[in-house]
Amino acid sequence: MSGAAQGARASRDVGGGLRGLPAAFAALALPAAATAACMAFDTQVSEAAKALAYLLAVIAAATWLPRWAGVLASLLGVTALNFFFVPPRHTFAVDGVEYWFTLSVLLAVSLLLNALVGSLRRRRAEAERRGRDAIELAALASVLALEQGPDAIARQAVAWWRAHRDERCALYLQATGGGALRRIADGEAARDEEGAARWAMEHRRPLGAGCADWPALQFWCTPLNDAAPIGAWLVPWTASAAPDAARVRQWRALAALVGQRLERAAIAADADAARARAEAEAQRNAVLASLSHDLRTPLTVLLGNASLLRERDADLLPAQRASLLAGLEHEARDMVAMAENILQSARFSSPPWRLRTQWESPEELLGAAIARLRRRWPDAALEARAEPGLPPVQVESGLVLQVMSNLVDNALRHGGPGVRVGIEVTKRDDRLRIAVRDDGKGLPPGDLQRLFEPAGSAASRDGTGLGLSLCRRLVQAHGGSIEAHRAAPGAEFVVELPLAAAAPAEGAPR
Amino acid sequence: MRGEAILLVEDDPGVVQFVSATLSAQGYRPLHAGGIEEGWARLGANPEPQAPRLVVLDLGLPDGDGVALVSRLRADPRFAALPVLVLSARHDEDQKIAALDAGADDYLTKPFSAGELLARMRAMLRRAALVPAPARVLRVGALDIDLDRREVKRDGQPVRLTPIEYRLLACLASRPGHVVTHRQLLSTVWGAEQIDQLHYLRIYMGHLRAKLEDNPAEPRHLLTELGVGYRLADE
Repeated sequence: MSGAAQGARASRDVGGGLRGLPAAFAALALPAAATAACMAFDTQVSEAAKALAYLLAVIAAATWLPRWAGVLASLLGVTALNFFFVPPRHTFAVDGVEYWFTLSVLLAVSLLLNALVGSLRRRRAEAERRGRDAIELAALASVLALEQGPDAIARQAVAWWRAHRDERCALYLQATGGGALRRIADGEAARDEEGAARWAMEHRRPLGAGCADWPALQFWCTPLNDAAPIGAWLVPWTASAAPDAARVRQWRALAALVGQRLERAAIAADADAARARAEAEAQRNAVLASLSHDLRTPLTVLLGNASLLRERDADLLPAQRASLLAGLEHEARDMVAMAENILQSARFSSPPWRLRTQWESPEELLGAAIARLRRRWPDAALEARAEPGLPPVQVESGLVLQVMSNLVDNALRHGGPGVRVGIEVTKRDDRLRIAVRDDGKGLPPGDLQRLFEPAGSAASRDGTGLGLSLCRRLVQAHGGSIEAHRAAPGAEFVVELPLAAAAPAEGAPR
Repeated sequence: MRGEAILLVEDDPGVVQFVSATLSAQGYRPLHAGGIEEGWARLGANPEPQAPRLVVLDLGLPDGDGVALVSRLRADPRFAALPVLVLSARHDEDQKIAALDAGADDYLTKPFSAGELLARMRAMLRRAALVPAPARVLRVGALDIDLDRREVKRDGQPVRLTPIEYRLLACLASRPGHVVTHRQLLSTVWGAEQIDQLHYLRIYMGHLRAKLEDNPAEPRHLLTELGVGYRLADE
């Protein structure tokens, strides 16, 4: 049986085991039984003792029957005593003050008893209802405690309400910073619902059925909290009578409970956001620190070589001069590549970003990357191979180029002297596979995924700078994956990009 | 040919100093303009034979976009054939392509080296000297392309091309050494309504390279200008 039906029965019938026709029958039967007993012992007992027998019947009626039946039994008992046993017998006339007195006291005692038992029953029912309400609140609280986001909390509250109360309700949530209300409910919104929710939040008091404000509305609505408005709770109420005070009190308690949970969730979300901001800030500072460290090497060479060429030009041999100039050019090209990495890191560090994809030929991308790498590393042992007949891919060419050249750069920088690097582009199922393999010193011990951690974090390898973490970000932006493997000897980095015509994960073709 | 006037339209003093020094050192006569209007005035003010032979044009100028000057030059019969080399920064990729579509001949992305600048300029001046009779028979590395007889040979052996492959090659060969943009190629070979069908171009260029290049991943004849277009090597 639902809670609502239980509550309704309790308020209609305050206590008593029997109701309706059976109760009326019992109200008749109890005085009748007393009459029968008195008749059986008519000659042996006095009128006062008979009055006690009737009193017993009246007490029994007051205890077990509804109040109206108890009163009926009292009246019937007094009437029966008068008719059958008070002289003159078999008339309603009363002979003598003593009998008047006995009948009056019997009637008064029985009515008083009825009133007393009724009041006790009401208190018990009220205590039971409060107990049920408290259990209900505790149950809702424990259900809501499991949810995190405001919408999840609201959905859970609405579902719980429907399951436990067999009633529909709607929750209106206000997003932080204002704007439209979000409606969380099952079923269509009734007319004026949103307006009522706004009114309740603005005036911070309930309105609708049974309230001083807008009593004609077909629902009852209350704000969820008293502080900065977060939402309103709305219950349809189509009955002609206003909802009773106890029901309204429980509604408000439930609404306040949901409101508190939502407020706590908002505070927790704020704290999370603040923590994320602080982490991002720390990350940014770490990246900047690592960048300025990475910039020092080329800047030292640029400054040193340039000043040497300017101040000691006369003392330099032609070969020395050429080597200093080559150093200048190489470091400057390094810084160009670094600037490109910084630029793309900044672009992809915070949403919303968007890829500018076009149909590109994997073979051409590889060719462009190799051309660029040969300019930067004229003496490196580089080998490139593309599987013939690769289909075009939808990518942002500059970014894939950057991934390829960062991976080769990384292999050349960390592979040790004389390292040979091969880059191969092939098709594997529905993915384009770019493998960069070297025969150098190999990868550091430990978790290989940590190679792709952002620069500056404890996990990043000294000197990798932005390169590998940016590679991962760019590959993921294209819906692809990147992995590092240990090879014998050396290392292999494998990038896989989706070949399907479907647009990449985020971003649309130009 | 030295002593030729080169007009540099650029507002950044550092770049002006670097380019002017590079040009002077090679015996060119650098002229400088700081914006579109000044550049236009400079061109008109120099009568033959002191007129500039080539324009080096920056895209972001204080009085407007360099693309506007390209369009103005191409619309004027006096300057329609004047070679224009565009200098673009990383952030004006779109204007770079717009300038090439509007008729600029080549581009360099900043930062660039003196060697790269001079190599581009030499090639452009050499090609300009051949105008107005562009070669109908080209020799590019191992390739012989005869535009009149519609014949292509590789190492002396005839190569069979499909009609689309031939049209693609012919479009590049009609302006050897020039960057031809994706839009220009698509509209010439497939028609103006197909200019967004970049994947056609990628696929046919792949076929063409497979037939004409030793290593298609490192082509020597059909060069890729990433994000911009293609170029047929001219030597």
